[in-house]
Amino acid sequence: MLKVNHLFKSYKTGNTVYEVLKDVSFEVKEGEFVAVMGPSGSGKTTLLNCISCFIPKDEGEILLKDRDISRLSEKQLARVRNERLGFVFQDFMLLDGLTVFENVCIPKVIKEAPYEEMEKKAQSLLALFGIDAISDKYPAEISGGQKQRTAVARALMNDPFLILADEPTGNLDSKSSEAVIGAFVSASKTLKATTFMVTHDTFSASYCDRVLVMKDGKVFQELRRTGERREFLGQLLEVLAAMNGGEEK
Amino acid sequence: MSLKQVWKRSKDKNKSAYRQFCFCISFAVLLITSYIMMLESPLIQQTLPEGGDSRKQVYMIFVLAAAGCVIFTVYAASLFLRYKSREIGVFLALGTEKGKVKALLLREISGYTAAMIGAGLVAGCLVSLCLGILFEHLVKGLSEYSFAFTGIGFGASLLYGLFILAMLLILSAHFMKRSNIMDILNEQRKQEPLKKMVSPPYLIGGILLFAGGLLLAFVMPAAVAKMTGHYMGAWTNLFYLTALAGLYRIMVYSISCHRKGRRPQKYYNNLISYGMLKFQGSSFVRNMLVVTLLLAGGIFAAFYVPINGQENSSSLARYESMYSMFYTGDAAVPSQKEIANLAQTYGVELQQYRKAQVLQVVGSGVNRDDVDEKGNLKEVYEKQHALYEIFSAGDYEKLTGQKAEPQPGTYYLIQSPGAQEDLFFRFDDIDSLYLDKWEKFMPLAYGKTVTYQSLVQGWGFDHQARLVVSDADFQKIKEGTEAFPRETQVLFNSKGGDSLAFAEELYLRFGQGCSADMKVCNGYDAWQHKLQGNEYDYAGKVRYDPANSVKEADWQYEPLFLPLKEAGGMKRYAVYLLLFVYVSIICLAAAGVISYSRSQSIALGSSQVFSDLEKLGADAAYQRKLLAKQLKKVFLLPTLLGGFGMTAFGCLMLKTNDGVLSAGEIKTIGIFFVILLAVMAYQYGIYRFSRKKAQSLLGL
Repeated sequence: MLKVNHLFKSYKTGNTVYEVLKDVSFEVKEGEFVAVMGPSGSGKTTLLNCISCFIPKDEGEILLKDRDISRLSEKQLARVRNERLGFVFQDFMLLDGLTVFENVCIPKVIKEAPYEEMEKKAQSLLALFGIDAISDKYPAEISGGQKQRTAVARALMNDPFLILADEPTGNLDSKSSEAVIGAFVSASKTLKATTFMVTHDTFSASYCDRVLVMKDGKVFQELRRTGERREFLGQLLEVLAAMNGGEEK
Repeated sequence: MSLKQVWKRSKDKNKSAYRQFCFCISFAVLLITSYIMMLESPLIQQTLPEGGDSRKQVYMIFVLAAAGCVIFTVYAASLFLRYKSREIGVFLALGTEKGKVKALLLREISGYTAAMIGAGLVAGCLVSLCLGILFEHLVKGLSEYSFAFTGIGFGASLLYGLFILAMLLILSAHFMKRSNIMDILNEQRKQEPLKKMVSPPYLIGGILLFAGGLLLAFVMPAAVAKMTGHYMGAWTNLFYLTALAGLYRIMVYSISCHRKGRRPQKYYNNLISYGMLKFQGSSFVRNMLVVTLLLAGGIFAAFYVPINGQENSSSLARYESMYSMFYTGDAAVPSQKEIANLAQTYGVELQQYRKAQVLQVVGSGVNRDDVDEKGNLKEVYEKQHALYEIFSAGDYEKLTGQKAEPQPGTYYLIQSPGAQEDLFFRFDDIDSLYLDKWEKFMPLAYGKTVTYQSLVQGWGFDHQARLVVSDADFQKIKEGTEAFPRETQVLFNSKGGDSLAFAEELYLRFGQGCSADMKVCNGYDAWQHKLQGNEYDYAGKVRYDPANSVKEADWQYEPLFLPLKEAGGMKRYAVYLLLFVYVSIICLAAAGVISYSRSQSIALGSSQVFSDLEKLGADAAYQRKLLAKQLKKVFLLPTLLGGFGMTAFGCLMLKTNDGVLSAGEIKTIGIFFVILLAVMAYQYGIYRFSRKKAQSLLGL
């Protein structure tokens, strides 16, 4: 589904060049739930921003279903973001003036899709994530976990090829985090959604099929879940503890 | 580094917020200062009649513009405080004493505000001076007054500036009063959402309040006064506030209530825009309300010009004779022969020259100048009320060609076509005349009205009333009176030649030849002067220039020559017209600046949402469309409500004047729509400019 080949990205401040991504390559298969972990400054968020084309890369390829999205025009890119990618942000990014139901509808509203199909799809996603009872509430009236589940539902509205999530549980307590990760797992199992998530949270990462651990702009290690989640969580904690400067939950 | 230096460094880094704040304060003070300076200058003060409608209207619009500018500056200050909130919050969170931060903030606000008030005052004075000179130039020869700065004008402008300063200091002190640092830190992100659920009854309530307020403030006092004679007083103007509350509700509903209804697709296509607007907050609606009022005020002022023009041309069409003049017996005005000779000089053929004697007699009447302590109009019958002018039936027929046969002991009142009694004047107010020579009262009853515009003086009532009595009664009055000079009324027409030059020359000779008794203003009544002696207000207040018929005159004996009136047209009202055009420009400028500032704050406040939408796949075109939808709300509803509302009001005024719409009035309505279109085009231009700037702010 997603192939990243030899990706390089650097920032220039004055005469100093900071290399943030150094030859990053990996692949995410259809239906996979992949997390990226690593200490601050390891390049996780830059990687996500490059994949989303929010920032330009220096070198390399970003192939979404074998199409290099980094070479698309602004207009084409907007269409890809709307229809082929789904985004979940750390601070939810819901529109305060719209209800939960209406927020979920936004990707299709931007697409100006027929409303009957839109309503049906939004209702089914709200039900899937257990937030149908609050569909008429406004963001200010619901909890952080409910907001993030609304954001997950919104990300799935156009049946994207790939969901990109940036620290989706970063602003949540453990109970809410569990509910949100549950939403990603449901999306993966029920809708066969492919998810690529950046996280600091080892607990959340333990729900994934695979975890890429980054360090100093490179994929330092790749861990695949083969057994129980608890087992995988232990494995992750061990790797992170072993990493110099690694952060643990 | 001291706190003061940190504060200054932060200011240097964020010049745009300071620039916007300074611009808003100085612009508001500039507008109001130039308005007050112009309004209080002798050019305007001496031209606008005391207690006249024009004066009331100018002041009414001024209050509107001043209130709009206060709201606009308070809004600018609250935006500025929101911008400062994060910085202040950080200082407080790091343990700076609140008192120190408060002192820094108040010093900064008062310093900038005072400086901008000073700049606004100076700029306002300069603008008014330039406009004053322009006015003087445009009305050269038409007004004897000139533009000058006055103490009242400067004092009032300064007072306005101090009021703004006080408002902003109170606002800043209130801002600093909060104890919750998180509230202060988050102030920048705070939104002012509107009530999220407004239902159709809310809208209906708004419409009822609006219509009811207008009805109670505008229609009710006039209706009550007409029906009961009870004058309700100025307190009824408070009902305009009810109308405003209604207008506010209508706007809130338009912003916050959107339903799927019968067009769900349209609803969903506009969903994001609706949601964003609703969260722009109640200040957004207040802003729209102020802009609506300013546009309405601006359009109302602009309507003054066509209404005046229409009244001028329609009133001229009502005159049956081309030349009408009257004078006292001792005046050395041109005789028929001299007029004929003069006419010949200009190749003008004199036609239908008619002349009649007019008697001046004191008669009874009703004084309705005051109201009692309960607000009821006081009607005081006075046996010797005013000096009236009397025509004999025979002479009236000779002058007008109309057969008039009043019964002995009755009178006909000469009136304009369509004249009606009102609260202050009745046709039958006179019931006797005083024959001073015989010291006897002669009873006289009202018969009917006769119409002949060329013989009507002023309003045709009270001391300007002219009566027709039977020939026998005329003879009796003539014999029984001697206290006031006899007059002569002359009417004639002309054909061909240079009638304008002829009329100008005749006007000059008439003015030069008039007697001392004729040098009186319109409000003058010789009987009241005699009665009140030195206390009498209207003595010696005449204003006219025989050499310049276009110059505004307040002269009871002014001859009415149609060629002059037609040529002079609206020049006579030039000062009025210019003032109203200026008022209109001020209101429109204020509306434009407020709309522009609001547009930019929408762009700034929504930048995060636009960035989020971009991430969700909204391309630049979609975002531009979305931004345009937001900004359209700022412009469209106020323009439609203010524009069409005021146009409808203008049409209503023309219709209710006399119950019918004449061809001239229909033409005036056409001009109303041209003005409306021009205002809409202006608003559209501001919208385009604001949209372009907002797009560049958002990088779209």
